[in-house]
Amino acid sequence: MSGSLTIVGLGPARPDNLTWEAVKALQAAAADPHGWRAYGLAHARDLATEVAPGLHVRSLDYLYSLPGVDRPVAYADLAEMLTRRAFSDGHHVLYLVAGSPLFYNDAVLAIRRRCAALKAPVRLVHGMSFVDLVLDRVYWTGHGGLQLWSAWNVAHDGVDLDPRAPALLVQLGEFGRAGDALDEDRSPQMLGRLRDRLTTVYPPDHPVIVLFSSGPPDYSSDGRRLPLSQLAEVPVPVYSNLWVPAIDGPALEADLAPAGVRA
Amino acid sequence: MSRRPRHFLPPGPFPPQDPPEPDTECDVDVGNFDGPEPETEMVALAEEVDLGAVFRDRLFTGHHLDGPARRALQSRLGQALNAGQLELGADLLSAWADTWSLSAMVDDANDAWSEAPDGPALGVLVRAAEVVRLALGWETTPDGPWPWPDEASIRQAVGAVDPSQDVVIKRHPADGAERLAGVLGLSVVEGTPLELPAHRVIDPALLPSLRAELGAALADGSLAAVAFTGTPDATPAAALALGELYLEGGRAQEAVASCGLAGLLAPEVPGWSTLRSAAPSEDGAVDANTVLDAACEGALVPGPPGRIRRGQVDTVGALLWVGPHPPVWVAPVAVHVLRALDGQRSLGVLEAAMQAPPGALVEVAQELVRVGAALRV
Repeated sequence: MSGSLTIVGLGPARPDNLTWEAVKALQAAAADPHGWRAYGLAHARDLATEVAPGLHVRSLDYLYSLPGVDRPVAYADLAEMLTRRAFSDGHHVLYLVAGSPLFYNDAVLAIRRRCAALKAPVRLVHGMSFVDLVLDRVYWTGHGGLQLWSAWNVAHDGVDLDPRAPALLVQLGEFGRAGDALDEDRSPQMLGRLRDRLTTVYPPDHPVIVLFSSGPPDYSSDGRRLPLSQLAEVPVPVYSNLWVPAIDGPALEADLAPAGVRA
Repeated sequence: MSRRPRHFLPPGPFPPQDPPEPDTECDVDVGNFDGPEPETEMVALAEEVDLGAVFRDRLFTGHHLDGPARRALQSRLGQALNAGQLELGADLLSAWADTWSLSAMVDDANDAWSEAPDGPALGVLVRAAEVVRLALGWETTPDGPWPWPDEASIRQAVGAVDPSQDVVIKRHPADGAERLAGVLGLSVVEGTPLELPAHRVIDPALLPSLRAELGAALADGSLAAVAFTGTPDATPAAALALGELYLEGGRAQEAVASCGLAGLLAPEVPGWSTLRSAAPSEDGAVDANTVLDAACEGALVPGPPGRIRRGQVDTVGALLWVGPHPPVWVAPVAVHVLRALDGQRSLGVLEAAMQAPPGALVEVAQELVRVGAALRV
């Protein structure tokens, strides 16, 4: 069998954020519908078809609604299915993911590990990560490094931050270890846990910045600077992140940067 | 006097399949053109009795849905609610309300389907099948949602049978031929297989173990869909396997799930909710001088189905159109107003006759106009 498996990162939000390599991969698949089989979630499908009209993306949304199937099991099953489709059945498989395939994507991790175990090659088409968008409302100097954690890890898994380096805590709206997102109204619960954990290391008046997207169609970056003690007082959008400047770090890193201008 | 043998086709949804026309254009033997007539003898040709068509023509009709089916559903609804069977009650009420739309849609659908496979017609027939099955309390056919008549109805439909010459024709492993033969005490004879796109019918217990094979076949197009002899288990392995079948089988797999094997003939079958749309309505305000007439029927019922499912049984109004429009659930007062509209008296006159508070009737009538339940005269 002469199939292949390509994982395409679509970038964080808008077609403008797609790489040229991703656009070419999508358009090639759209031009040869019998040669390629594309799979992805609904939002990936919408984004992909903007640059590759006619591309038939088979919807994987069902994986998130199967009773009794939690995320890790679903991701393992997806990896088994896509590698089977490519390397046993001989199809050219395109798996579309939002953002970068390499940032917080357990499904991609499962696929890569399975391909390695099968000694089967997987092609990665990199995509811009959401971190690029997030960081445009802060001034990260890079001088003290950067800690990147899921907010869940800090709030629930006992991960301790090093207060000498800035930290970016992602997915404030997450309510489960497996990455399920909660609705906006339930975010204060997570924020309260996070505040309590962080105040064991940072003073209550330590500035933090909630970073989030305005959502469709512009997906512009937004931010809200507040003292750590007030973190849980206002709900945050589902896909929000938290910037925690270092104690005694560069003053610049504690500032909220103004919104950028988009062409 | 002996009668012709009869070949019974099981009850089911399949449209008639005419045998291919004999090839008459070739091989004409010119030398024998003027020769003697070939010797013929009288052969008793079997009479084909398609019980699917028989029951469709009796039950999937506007007349049946508008009358006996609606009355049966109403009776069963009362029994279900009195017995505290709220889920069943909600299904029965939904079916009862749909008899209005179906009574206007089912005859055309049946005619179209009897001519050739047709997606929209199948969508209507599937909903009619659910409604008829609920009305009569029948089981389903082995392959899907179609009503399987009870024994008495089958016997009544076929009359006396002669086991020495009558047989049941089997056209598909899941067409219920053995079941019908058991009821009638006849033997089964293999007939011309149903002309269906490539598919497999499997025991649902085998789904996880056959998953890779079935997924590959659906992906490469050698299978259009997979059907089951029962309901797959509610296990994660079965759910994931089923997910892959839908992923790779696409519309045909969905059509088989909702329509049984008949879905293979019309995979683009639309869902029932998309086959109806809101009733046409008029713009503009009404006042006390406006004269309106009812454009639909109104009924008082024990609650919208969703509310009954949640355990709340309370009287609400239902606006019901004899046309392709879904019911609208309203406050009971709207039904009282609708019933008073006669196309002759103005709203002001009606308001006085009904002793309604000033302006109240106009307000309700405005809503009825907005949803297309009332029209200006």
